[in-house]
Amino acid sequence: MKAIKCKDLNKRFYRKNALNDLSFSIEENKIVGVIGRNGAGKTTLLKIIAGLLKEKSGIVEVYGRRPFNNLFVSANTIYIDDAMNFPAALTLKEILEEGKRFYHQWDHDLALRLFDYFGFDPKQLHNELSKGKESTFNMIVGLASRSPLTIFDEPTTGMDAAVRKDFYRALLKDYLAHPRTILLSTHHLEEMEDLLEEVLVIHEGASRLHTSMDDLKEYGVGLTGKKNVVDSLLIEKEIIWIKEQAFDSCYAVIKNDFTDQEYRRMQEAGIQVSPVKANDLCIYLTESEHGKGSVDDVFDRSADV
Amino acid sequence: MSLIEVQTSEVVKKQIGYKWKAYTGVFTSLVVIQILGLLFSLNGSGSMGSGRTGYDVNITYYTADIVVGFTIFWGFLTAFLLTTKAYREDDFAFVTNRKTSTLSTIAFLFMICVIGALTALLSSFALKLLAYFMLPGEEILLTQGVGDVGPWLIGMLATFLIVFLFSSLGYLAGMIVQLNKMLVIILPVVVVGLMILLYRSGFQVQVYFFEFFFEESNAWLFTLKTLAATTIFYALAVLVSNRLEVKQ
Amino acid sequence: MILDTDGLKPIYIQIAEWLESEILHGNFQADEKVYSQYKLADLYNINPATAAKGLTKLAEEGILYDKRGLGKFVSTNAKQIIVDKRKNQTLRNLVNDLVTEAGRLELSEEDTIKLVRDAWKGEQG
Repeated sequence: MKAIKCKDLNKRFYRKNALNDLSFSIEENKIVGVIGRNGAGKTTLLKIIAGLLKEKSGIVEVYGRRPFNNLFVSANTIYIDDAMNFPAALTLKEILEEGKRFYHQWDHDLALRLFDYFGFDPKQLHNELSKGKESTFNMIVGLASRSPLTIFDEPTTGMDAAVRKDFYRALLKDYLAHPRTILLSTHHLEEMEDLLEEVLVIHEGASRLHTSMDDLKEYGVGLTGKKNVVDSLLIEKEIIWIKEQAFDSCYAVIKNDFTDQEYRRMQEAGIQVSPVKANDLCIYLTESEHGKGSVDDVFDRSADV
Repeated sequence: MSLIEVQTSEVVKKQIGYKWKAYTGVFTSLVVIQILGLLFSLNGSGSMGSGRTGYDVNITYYTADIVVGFTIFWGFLTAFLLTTKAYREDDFAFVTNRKTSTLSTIAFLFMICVIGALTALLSSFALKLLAYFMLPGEEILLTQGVGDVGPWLIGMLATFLIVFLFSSLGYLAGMIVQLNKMLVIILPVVVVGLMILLYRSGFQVQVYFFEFFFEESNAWLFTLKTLAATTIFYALAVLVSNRLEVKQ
Repeated sequence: MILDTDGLKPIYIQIAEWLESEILHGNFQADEKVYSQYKLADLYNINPATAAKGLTKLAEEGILYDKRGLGKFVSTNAKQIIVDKRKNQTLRNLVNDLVTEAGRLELSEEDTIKLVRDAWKGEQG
């Protein structure tokens, strides 16, 4: 059964299109990374899936049902972001107690152990927490809920490196013991790429690429060499990104569909072939089509040193 | 991982318990506003005096009418506040949909209106005690509501019904305002504007409103009227709320 | 083993190679059950699907075999397959790379072989 299905999903905020005919589907019990630039539509998408926002048009289904205003979807989903609003009157401990009352699969033992591990004070109030601590607490709620569909939107905001590492580890451990569908949007792909089974790359409100993490790592290939030689190789290839370098050479990222024979020829022609890291590839894939290639272009060429 | 089917009633029950714990600020404001009402009441709600040679008679009435008035205002405001974004997001931190959220909020408002009405009437006793101990005066006559339970209960019911009616108005107004921020300004302007227009054409809405509800001497009819109006306002609020998104 | 997450080699291949090495070292005997994808995922902090891909790769090469419902087990001739594979593929690729690089540096065949011979002596002595 599909956990999530979207077809031609659209969402508008006033004059701006947030989602543009977004289509994809996700199988149950996978950890999927939702990757994209700021403003690409990640959060909008995740909130629509969680039933918090209403789609403008298109189909969105979570476990076969339309999520907006749906009690079934709400009961089987948890949405965690860095702006979680908990009642100001409740202490952290009381918030966990409420979580236990509302979520059927809630693991209170796990919640309390994580709570102690990260050194929270039961009497503290949620709005007294620092940004990093707040994210850590929200993460505990997200993990302990054991919701069949768990959504983390930028869960690591403000966390320090050590806590982020602990979070990834805790997430994996709990997932191994209790497999469930987990959506993670993140700006730290390089940190959590090994955790992910699939990635969904969102660009300007549409799905740019949806593939397994292992395939993403081999999706692109980087070619470095003399410009004219590289150019001759690029004919009829899908160029993802290209940048000129010193001494008439250039670096191009191409979709990796070369045959072994082609590789051999390239090597003989003195082209360096290198893999492209998943994180870099995502950056290249989501380069704006309207603007120029990179931030370099913002600066005056003549000012180059 | 197995999926869970939940019943609306089950979630509503949980939400009521949750709100009871989470919205304690509501009770703080009730206490504050009723104490304030009590202090104002110490002025007395009416007095008359007459003097003749040899003796002066000065009668001052102490009633908790101001407290009741303040409680009505509190009911309106609290209901209005519960529709704001912060409270709605509190709701949606855990399992819910619009229906359970609104139903549980209405149930919660029902309960706090009972409490508000009860404390408002009890405060009339407090007022009499206060007046007895703090104010100069030779004789104090406690007129009604002490010995007789019947009128007191009816007064309690009436107070509750009015507070609850105004909470439904507040809730509806709040929901309408949530649709679009501009309505914070537009809604009062339209309401007041309409009243002025109608007033000019000789129809005074507020007078009609008060006559319709408060000059009803039949307790049953009064109950029926207020409950019907409350139901209509809440139903409208539910209709409006179904269009609302949670987080933007 | 610590995974080289920045490296060029996909994680699932690193997992497969680690298992191969353990088999070569005798830590997994023939007909012994190897770690499950979940155990591997926990051990190396990776997604179980990636670990499964590593296991599948070894199964496809005949190094592991499936027992339905029980997991993956080491084939009787696993060691032989691994040794052959490393000779034929890994080593050959390394030699190819060596020759390519030597060509780029304009080294003669003689010189290159001499380098290999020297390295060999260093390793033996």
